[in-house]
Amino acid sequence: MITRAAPHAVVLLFVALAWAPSAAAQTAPEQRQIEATKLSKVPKLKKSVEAEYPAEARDKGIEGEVALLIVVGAVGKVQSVGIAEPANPPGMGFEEAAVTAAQQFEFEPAEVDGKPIAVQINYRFKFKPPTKAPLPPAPATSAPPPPTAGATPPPAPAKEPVTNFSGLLRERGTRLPLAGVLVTVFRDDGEKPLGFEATSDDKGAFHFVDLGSGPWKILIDPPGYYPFRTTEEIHPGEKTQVTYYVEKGTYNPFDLTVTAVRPRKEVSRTVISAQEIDKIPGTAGDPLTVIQNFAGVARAPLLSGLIIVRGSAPNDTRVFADGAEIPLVYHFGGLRSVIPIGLMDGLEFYPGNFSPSYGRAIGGIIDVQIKKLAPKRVGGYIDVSILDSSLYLEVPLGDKAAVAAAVRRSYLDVLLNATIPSDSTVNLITAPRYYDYQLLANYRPTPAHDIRAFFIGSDDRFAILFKNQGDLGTQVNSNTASLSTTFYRSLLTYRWIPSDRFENMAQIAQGRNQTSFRVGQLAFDINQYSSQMRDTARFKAAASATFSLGGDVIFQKTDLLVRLPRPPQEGEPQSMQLDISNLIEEHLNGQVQWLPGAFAELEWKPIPGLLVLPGVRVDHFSSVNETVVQPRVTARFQVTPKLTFKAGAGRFAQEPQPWESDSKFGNTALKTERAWHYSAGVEYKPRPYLTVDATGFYKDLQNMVSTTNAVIVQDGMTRPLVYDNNGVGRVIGLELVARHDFTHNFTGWLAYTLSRSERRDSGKTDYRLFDYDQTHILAVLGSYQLPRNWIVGGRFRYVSGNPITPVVGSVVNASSDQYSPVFGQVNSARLGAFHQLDLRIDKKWVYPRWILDVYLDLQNVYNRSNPEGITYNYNFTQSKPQQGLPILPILGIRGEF
Amino acid sequence: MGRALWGAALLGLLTLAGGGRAVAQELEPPAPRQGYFLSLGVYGASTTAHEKGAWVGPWVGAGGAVRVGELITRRFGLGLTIEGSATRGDGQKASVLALGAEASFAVVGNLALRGGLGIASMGLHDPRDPFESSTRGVTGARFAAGISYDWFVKRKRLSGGYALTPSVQVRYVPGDDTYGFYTLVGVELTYWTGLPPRQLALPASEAWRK
Repeated sequence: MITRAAPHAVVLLFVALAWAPSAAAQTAPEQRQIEATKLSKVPKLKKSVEAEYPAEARDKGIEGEVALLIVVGAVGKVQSVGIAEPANPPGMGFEEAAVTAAQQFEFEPAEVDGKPIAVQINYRFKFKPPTKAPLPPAPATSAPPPPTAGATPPPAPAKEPVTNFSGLLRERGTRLPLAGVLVTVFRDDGEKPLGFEATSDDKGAFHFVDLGSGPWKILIDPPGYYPFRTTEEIHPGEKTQVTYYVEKGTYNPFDLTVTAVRPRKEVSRTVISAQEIDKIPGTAGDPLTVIQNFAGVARAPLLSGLIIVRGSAPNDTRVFADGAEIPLVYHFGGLRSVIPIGLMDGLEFYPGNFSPSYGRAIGGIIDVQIKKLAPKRVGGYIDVSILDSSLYLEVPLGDKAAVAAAVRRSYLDVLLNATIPSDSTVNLITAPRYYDYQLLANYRPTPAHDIRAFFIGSDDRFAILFKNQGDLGTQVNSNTASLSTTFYRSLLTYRWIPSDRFENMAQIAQGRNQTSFRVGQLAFDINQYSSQMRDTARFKAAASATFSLGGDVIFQKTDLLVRLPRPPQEGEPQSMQLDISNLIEEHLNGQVQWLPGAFAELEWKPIPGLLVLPGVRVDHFSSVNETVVQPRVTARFQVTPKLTFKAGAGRFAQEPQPWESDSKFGNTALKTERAWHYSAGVEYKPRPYLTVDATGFYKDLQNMVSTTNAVIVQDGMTRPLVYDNNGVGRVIGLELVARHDFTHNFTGWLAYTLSRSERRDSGKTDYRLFDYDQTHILAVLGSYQLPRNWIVGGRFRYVSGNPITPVVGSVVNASSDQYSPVFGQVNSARLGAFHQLDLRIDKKWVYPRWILDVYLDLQNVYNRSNPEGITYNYNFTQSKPQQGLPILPILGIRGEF
Repeated sequence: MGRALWGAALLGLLTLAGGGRAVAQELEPPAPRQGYFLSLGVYGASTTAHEKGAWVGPWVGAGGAVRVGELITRRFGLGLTIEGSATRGDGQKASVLALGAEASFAVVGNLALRGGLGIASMGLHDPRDPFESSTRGVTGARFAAGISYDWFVKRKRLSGGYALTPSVQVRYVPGDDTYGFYTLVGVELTYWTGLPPRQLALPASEAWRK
């Protein structure tokens, strides 16, 4: 019997390791001593071999002990074994047996700063003769019976070791087991110190046998953790069991999860992990608000929730969750995303030239990566902020399955109801409130099969009652206004990877969208069922060629009631007063729409360093009865490990907005809107953690839906055409990104976009600026991790103001006695520039079983009055800018368990 | 862009001050200024404001503050401050209520420089003016600077303890039409929790002491 609980002086614990250059390990003329605590990883015994008990010693029941010096190489192999202390007793063959066994050991190598190094370690073999029959446990301090005089004493029966001190090692705060950690017990016992070591197993368990009674000092000092020091009293005949929570030196959110990132294939792609998103200043911890900090993304108007990518209209960009489109990104126009941070691994953002696997969009793509559940324990968080509270819980179900659930509810309604005075002109029937809920389940019966089910639901509601009917408007025939938006989606994904050459992913999504808006006689009610099926197969035909083939189909059934004036198109000045004298009414019951699509892509590596991805997507749009073939190609050429050139071109198509192709509101003869994307750039990686990316892009927008004054004759009647496809557009720009991955305690990036986005409306000869054209968009942000679990971060943004159409005069309507504006040239003026500094401070308090995380997000630190629009007086002779949010502190608290 | 640059520079200074040597799980030798702090301060206060193109004040009075935070490295600390003051002069009154994040940096021993950002409301009131606007004054960002010294009168512990902290602090509350300064000079009673033994470099005789 060999035990690795080896007694030796406690002083060895601290400097048991010596850096040994591999070739000179045995002579080691210039060994450089380093402290074990400097290692970022201690060597861990991977393969242990039992020493053969010397026959003579075994037969005579003689115990022995040998201390070895083992040099473990940088790859974990034993390079040499020496005798540190001769065997006791000598000459029985203990040394030879121990050396032979130790030479067959294998280790996980030690590391300094992540680099494996050779080290020399002390290892002590203790030989105890095997017992022939189980013996009752004896107290550790029990003495053998005295020998009988005159008789040859029989060999003393070997004592079965008794575990009398055991415990579990857990990481403080997270409760994760600490495996492979050395636990030392020691005490001054007479003339020399006495100590024992044990190493925790995969579950963090450790045990000691036959510890003498009395007080023992305990030391646990793994690299990267604060030392854990305590004392325990061992009582005779009793077992002592403990659980120790060892505190990490820093609870770094940026390295909690290492997610495999798909190799870059696109010209432009931004990938950001949930851990990074969670700490970005100015977002108050909201996952999707981070998008506005990416290159190519314009600043959206306050509380609009719009996503404006590379000069495209907000409706041109699609948002997906694991490949399934979700209809709503934010609650109430950008207050909060519908997907909580706990359910995300990260998000991928493609501002253009995206893969053929994405379609029905001519702007950009945002794909939220839903979490790949692999919890090691029951855990989650409770998050409380000024807007809402949320709960997230994840539970492992054995080794192969896990479930997670989340729910969130706002309390704006409670706050508003409490603050509105009783003499106010309004009553809140339903104050603004939102909630969302998610359920995620993951089952991996074998590594080749991965089944995931995801369900998400969201509900926003708002209703207001004006005490006086006239307060809502003289033309409105009611004093109530209400808005509600509800949706749910269920998504089932099955990924099958039978070999490293083939992979298939099948998805089925089903859901319902419901939106209702009522103000007096104005109404918009839509109830839509949506189903989506999608399959993507990937086949590696050769080392240089991989094919991806797939198809998806969206089925939608819609019930609709609309009674509204025609909405203004992009480029049309917003009317100052809503004219509801000319309402258009539309009823649709069970209108069916099919959107089938198919795509193919080849990943071709014709020469080392060059990756070419030709592909094609074909979409059919049943609402306009049109099929569009969209060829796309991207290429990347890695000239050196640090330098990559890239380029792409492709065609993209999307259907007109629903009202544009409606028979009452628009023109049923409309066709799809098209865009050609061209981009080219260079990536330079001067350091492993630093990436600089410069990408130029050009978008040629064709068939754009535009307002027209033309008329058509339909069923013998002349009616306005309203819209046609004769609009065109062009967007040109340059994006510059410098990104610093988390290292040296810092992460952050600089994103700058210089662009110009123009449109030429139907029947016009000149281009005009796009509504959200922003010449300069700069975002600089960073987070710095300080000791004691503090993180400070800042974000600075500078963005050119949006174009506006100036009011150059006004006319008075004699019947209504109201002034109407006279507009100048469309988008010929600009609002003032936007700039803002946001700061964020995060602090974690680590308790044994949970972590308290408090953050203060201070937005608009220097209280800049940013212009968001222009307001006019009654006759449009005076104007002043509408101001954005002032300095705003947002406090959030999260308990992680 | 003036204030933008000012804010960005302050952000940079704060980051640099704390970011020079951020070393995780490094055991610190015991010292009196360690761990979390809670501080209650009483001050003599003075207020000066610039409104309608002219300066008013300085008016004098009294103020108080509560500060909580933590010393993150051996020199650099972060925390929150809530403070208020009331001053009067020239027949007028000024009141300030502020909330801010505060950084401190020990330059020599227990002598520390302070800097901070936050929000403040500085209200000005003239009881003699019946037509005075109820919103007279300025509300918005608040920038802070100061200097303090922690005097540990009686040391009983290796790490942490009570200190008397004389301090001099200046605040600036910018605004478009009105902006103001106020100063706080006084003393704080500060309690430093000290670091837990596991985070201290202790001799063996102390390390396992219960």
